[in-house]
Amino acid sequence: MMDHARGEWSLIFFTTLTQMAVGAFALWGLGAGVLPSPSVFSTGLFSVILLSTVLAALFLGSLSATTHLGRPLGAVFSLSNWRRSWLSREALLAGGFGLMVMAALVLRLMGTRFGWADRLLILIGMLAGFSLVWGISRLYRLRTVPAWDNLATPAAFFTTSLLTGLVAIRLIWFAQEILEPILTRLPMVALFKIRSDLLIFLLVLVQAVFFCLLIIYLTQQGSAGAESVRILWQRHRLALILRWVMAAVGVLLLNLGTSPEQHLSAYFLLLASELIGRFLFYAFYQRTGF
Amino acid sequence: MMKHYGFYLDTNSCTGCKACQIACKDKNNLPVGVLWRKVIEVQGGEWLPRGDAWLTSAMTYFVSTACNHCELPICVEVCPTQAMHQREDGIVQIDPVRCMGCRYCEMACPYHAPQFDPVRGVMTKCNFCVDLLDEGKSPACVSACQMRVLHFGDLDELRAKFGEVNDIYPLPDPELTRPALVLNPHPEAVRPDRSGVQIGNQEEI
Repeated sequence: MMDHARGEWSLIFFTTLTQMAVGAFALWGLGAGVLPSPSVFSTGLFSVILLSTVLAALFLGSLSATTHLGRPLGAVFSLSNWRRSWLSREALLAGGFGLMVMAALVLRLMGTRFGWADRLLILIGMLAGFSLVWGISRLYRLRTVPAWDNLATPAAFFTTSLLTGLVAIRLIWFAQEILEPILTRLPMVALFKIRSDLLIFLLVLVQAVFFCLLIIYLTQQGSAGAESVRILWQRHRLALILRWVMAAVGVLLLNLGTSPEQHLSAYFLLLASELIGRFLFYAFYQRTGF
Repeated sequence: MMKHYGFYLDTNSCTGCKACQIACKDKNNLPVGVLWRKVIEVQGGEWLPRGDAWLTSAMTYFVSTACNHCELPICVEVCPTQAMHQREDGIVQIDPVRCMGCRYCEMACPYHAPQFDPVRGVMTKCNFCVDLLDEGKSPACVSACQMRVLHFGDLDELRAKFGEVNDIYPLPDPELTRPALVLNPHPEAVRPDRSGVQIGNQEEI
């Protein structure tokens, strides 16, 4: 039987990029909305670069999803079954989230003072974004696919969203520090780094716990569940080990490393680990039946 | 009550000749790799020593399966464009104009009924030969069956005549989608969680 993941790289990139966009926007919005204005989150080059990156990730993800379609022209009808199909709802939610991000970016580009309009857009954008991640997870919770129809799916998608979003923010900050060293002297930046290191560690831990619980759950789900576990261990053992080793090394480098090079390596290890994890999600797909 | 078309298969007498599979492929001009009707070979059993002799429990039976035009079709539920739709008579069809080839229905269907046509970029599947039905004829698979073990008709009538069994290995739990299917099970047909039974032609289907 053909390995399911091999044909699904377009969806691997779509789900990972879209979830990263939501995570980055939500975490930026939390910082910008909660901290007294103006702050490094809410004004200046950082917010423009971040929002542009979120939009770019969303756009590239959507483009990737389109390459998955056998007949893209049919996509004009993709919203018509929103009453029953989570795929229709996903398209609607992605559009709504994208509009909120665009509106937030326009406000930042206009250079207006961060105010209630921004906070409202952030709130609606965060709701739309989290609804989008929830919608994507519901899409995969097919009752005929035991490996996907469980709580580990939304847990994986939300932790990926927050983790990759946080890494994206750190990467943008890292790039900006090279251009604007003054940022490193701000005490709030140091606090954000410490807390986000801990959050990344917690997110990876949550993912590991849910993964272990998922394997136990699948062994009790009949032949389809057992086949999913077999596929994971027999065909993708190396990728599985690599995924967790890279995540662990990334967390260690982030929390214990002192040099910028170590932190940069950590970011890329974590992102690569998330991509491999998403590949494995598609790889262990097994339908009930034959 | 509105008629809901369904299939009846007597797995006790099916010889696995695949005339139904070939008739379907021929009638619909299906490309290589696309099978709207599949004949699954189930095999199992073993040889056990009994003194100087050997006893065998080796067995095989065949299950001819296509789209089951389910009462709760998950493919219709998940299709974002409503290309996959169900008629009032229960026949589930695909509108190729609306289909965008996202393959979501393929992921969802436990019977592997919707299949992707790489040439046209859309999903395809058994449509119960609606063109033949409209002419008062039988579906191609039913007409081709040499052993006369494959029948079609109103699901309620089939159930009244042949019973309500629709659940033998390797078919999935019928409660998932409620297939419009009635079976006369082979005596050796077992539930899928029993060991020692396997599909013998996995690569073929």
